[in-house]
Amino acid sequence: MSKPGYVQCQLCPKGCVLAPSERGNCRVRINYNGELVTLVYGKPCAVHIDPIEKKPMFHFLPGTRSFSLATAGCNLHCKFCQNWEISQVNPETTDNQDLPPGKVVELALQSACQSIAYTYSEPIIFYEYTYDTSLIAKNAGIKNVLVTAGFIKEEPLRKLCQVIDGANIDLKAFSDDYYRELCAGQLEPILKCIKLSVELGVMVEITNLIVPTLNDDPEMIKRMCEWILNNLGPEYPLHFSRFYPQYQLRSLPPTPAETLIQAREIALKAGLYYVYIGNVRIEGAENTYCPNCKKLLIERIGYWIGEVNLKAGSCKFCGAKIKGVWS
Amino acid sequence: MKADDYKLLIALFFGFFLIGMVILTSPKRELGTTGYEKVDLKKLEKLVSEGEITVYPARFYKKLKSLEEAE
Repeated sequence: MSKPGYVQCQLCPKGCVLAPSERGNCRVRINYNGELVTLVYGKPCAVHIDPIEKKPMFHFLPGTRSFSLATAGCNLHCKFCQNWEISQVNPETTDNQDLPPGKVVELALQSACQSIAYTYSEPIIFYEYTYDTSLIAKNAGIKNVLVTAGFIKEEPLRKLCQVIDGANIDLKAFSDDYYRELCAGQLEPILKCIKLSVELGVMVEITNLIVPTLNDDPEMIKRMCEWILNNLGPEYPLHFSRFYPQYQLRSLPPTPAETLIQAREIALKAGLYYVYIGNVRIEGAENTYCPNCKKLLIERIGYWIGEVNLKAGSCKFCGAKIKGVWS
Repeated sequence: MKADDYKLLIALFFGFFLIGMVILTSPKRELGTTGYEKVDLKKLEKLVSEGEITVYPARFYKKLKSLEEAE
C-alpha cells in the first residue's frame, strides 16, 4: 500500500512507523512533514551535578563528580519507573532548559566534572543530543557515561560506543515476559546491547532492580548471573537495587533487605567478582574487595568514599588488576 | 429463541472474544506500537518559536514509499 510521507524510526527495536504528524512511542521523535525530527535536542529538563557513585558507577573514576542531564521521554514504559515524572511525559509539558552540546561541556568543565552522564530518563531517545555532546566532551578530555535500559538497535549503538566511556545498563529481569508485561520492551535486544557495549570497549556496569514478587525468584537471578559470567566474564560489576513503591506499582512493598542479600550471595556464588547492593544501607555491600586477596579496595558508604587501596588500577596488596576506569 | 440461535450467538461471542484476545496479546500492543499520538503541529511550532522545544533532524530512520518497506 502506497503511503507517502511515512517514516520508520530505526533507533530502537520498536521501529515505529509514523504517518505525518505522528509521535513515536518514545514521545520525543515525530514525523514532521515527512522527516523524522527530535523535539529535545539541546533541551534537557533535568540538569544536576552528581557523584558518579549515584549512577551507579563504582568502577569508574570513584569519588568524582558527573555533570548529569536528561530530557523528557523514554522508549520503555516500566510500571515501576523511578523517574516517571520526566520519562513518561511529552517534552512539551516539562520545564526545559536551553543547553546546546557545547554549553553542556563548558559547564561540565567549569564545575570540575570529570564526566558527563546521560541519565535519569533514557539517553537513547535523545540520541542526537547525547552523541553530539559526547563527541565535544571527548575532544575536551571529559568522559561520557550512559545510564540506560539498553533498548537500542545495533547500528546506532555501534556509533554511540565510539564516544562513550562507561555505561550502567539496566538488566531489569532475565525474562522476556517481564520485559513485555511490565516495561513494554523485550529482553533479547538488551542482552545484545550489553554484550556489544563490552565488546566495543565500554566499561559496563549492570543494574538489576529487584521488585518483590515480580523478579525476585532466586532461580531467575541465578540464570541472569550465569549469563553475565558466560558472556561478559566475572569482572563486570553487578548492582542489585532496592525497589521503592513508585508510579503504577505503589501497592507493592519495598524490597526486603534479605532478598537483596540473598541475590548478592547467588551472584558471588555464581562467580561474579564485584556485586553491590544499592538504594539501601547494608554494611559492606557497597565496598569493593579484591577478588584475589579479598582485601578491601574501595570503602563506600552511600556516595561517600573512604579508604582506597588501588594503585594504578591494581590491588595495592597483591597487585591483581581490577576492572575499571580509574584515571 | 431456537437452540440453533443460541449456538450461533455463542459462536459469535467466542469469535469476538478470540479476536479481542489476539489484539490484546499481540506483540505490537505489548511494545506499545499499535497506535501513535497525532501531534498538533501549530501548537508545536508555537512552542518551538518560544524556545520550549526544538525541531531537530533525527538520525537513524528511513522514509517509506509503502508500508511493505517497513521492517
